[in-house]
Amino acid sequence: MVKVKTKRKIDRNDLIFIVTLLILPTLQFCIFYIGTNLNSFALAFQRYENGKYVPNGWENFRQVFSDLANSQEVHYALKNSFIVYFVGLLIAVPIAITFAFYIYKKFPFFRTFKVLLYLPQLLSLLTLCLLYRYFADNAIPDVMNKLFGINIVSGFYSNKETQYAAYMLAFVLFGAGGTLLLYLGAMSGISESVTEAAEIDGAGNFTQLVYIVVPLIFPTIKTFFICGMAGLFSNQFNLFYFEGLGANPKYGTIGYYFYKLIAERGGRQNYAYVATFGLLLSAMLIPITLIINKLMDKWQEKIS
Amino acid sequence: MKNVFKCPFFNVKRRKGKFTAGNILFIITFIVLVVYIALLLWLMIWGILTSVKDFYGDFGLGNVAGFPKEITFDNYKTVFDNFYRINGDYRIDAFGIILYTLLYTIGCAFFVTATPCAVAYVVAKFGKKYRWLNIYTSIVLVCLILPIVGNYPSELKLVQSMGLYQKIWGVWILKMNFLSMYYLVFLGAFTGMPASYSEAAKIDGAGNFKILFKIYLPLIRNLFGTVLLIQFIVFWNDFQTPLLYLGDEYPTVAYWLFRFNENTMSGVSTVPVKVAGTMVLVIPIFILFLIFSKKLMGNLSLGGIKE
Repeated sequence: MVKVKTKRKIDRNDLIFIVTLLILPTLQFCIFYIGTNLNSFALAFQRYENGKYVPNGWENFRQVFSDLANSQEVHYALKNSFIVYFVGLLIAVPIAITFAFYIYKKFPFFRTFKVLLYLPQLLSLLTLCLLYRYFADNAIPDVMNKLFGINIVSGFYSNKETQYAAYMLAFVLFGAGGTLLLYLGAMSGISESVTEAAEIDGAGNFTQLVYIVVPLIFPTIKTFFICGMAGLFSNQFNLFYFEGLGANPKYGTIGYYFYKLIAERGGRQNYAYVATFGLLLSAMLIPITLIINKLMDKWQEKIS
Repeated sequence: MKNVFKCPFFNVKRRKGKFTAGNILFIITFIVLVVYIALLLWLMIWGILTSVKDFYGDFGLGNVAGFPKEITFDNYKTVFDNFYRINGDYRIDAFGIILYTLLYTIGCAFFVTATPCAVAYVVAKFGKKYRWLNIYTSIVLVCLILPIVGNYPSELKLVQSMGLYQKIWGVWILKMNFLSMYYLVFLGAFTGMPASYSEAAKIDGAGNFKILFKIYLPLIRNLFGTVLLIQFIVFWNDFQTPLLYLGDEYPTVAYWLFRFNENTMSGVSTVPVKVAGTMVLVIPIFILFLIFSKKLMGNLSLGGIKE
């Protein structure tokens, strides 16, 4: 029997409706996503001179490779980007999942905790970082002095020896809350009868978390993990909130380094360099992300 | 169940004589949670108390972490006296900054919410009939996964060349995209709604626009409102987009705060004045939270942003 393919004719009213609703988003996507990324390629072979962009051959690539080999600031930025990413992954994510599990299981004061954990989401990071900066520099030394007699002349934040720790504490403190609510959302989809049945079978909280809840919310964990891969080179470690453009290069990340180059006076001179560097990093990160995505898919099949 | 008894305070089971892994996890989580919350609350309470302290007669004399000797609102007066930005030859006062903030915040929040909602509606309701529409879902999924780094310069250059730079409506257009998690949320919501509603309406002679505006949008208004509210908070707090795309042409409150914090002029450089400045950004959002807390927390507790 020969199958005859019939072409479904589009209804005129449907067409008008679909085009009306989709035309602007589609144009926006073509210009600001596809166009922007194609433009990144073009920009990588240009330089800014006398108010316009002129061809520059492979010079930007040479500059990026030279900086990768010799620039101390780029070395610091790369190292810190990895540290910040793995701290987020290994500390902030487990904290967020455990906190979410606590609230999901309705342990003591779960309602109060939930409302209070929402605080960092409500307030701007700028506000939190500015408050934290003055707080760490003034209130913490004062309390340490009065309670323990420890005299810190330069505050926790301003002290060069503790500044990195102060940034890291702020990063974990303000970062854990956000994903917590999303993990909690995923956990709310698990029927209580599942954990209740496990409890009857003698499974403790740890067993329930590791063997029941985590596998069930694994798609959410995977989504955040994969989407978070971009954060490896775009996370600014809150440095712009704390320091504006003047952060110590020793503590910089690639995200901060790029943003600083664009936002500083005469930033247009740096557009081509940042676009080139970004292209190289994306070219490295995209296949890694896709491979990890595949591996996690396989892992998900295994544990489900 | 002989060797199992209930922990009196935590109400979790533990084996007699030794703590189980679950118990230890629970106790550690409780302690970490308390410390975490205590730190956050301490930070906020310290901020509020410091903002009403006199610098010369109180904070500057060593009362850094305690209660104020006398509550004063002079720091807020100093903040409001400095609530302006100079752009070239003209001065943008508090009214102007608030107006620009509202235009930026409401506009961006609306477009960031309405665009994925519109695209998701079309895909959910017509995707079965016209299969090619499902490409939009694939585009969102691929774009969410692809980690593209350092495309700010290219975007900025494009915005400048298109005449959208330093224009509020230019930023609205920039934000009018459907590539967000909310597309998937709206898609899930529209897909879950029965097609019989639109079929019945069609029999009664309703057109596609009428079905959308009279049937489906009212059904989705709670979800739409919640996403809009979340986005309002995000854009109210955002200062990096105004810094890059609007600058001193259209300063927003968050952008003003960032610049105010950099100000080293005497009179505004004391810690209590700077802290009072940060409160200007917090207070409206806090009021919003008090009014809509049930909506925000309730929706979030159900599943990120489920109804």
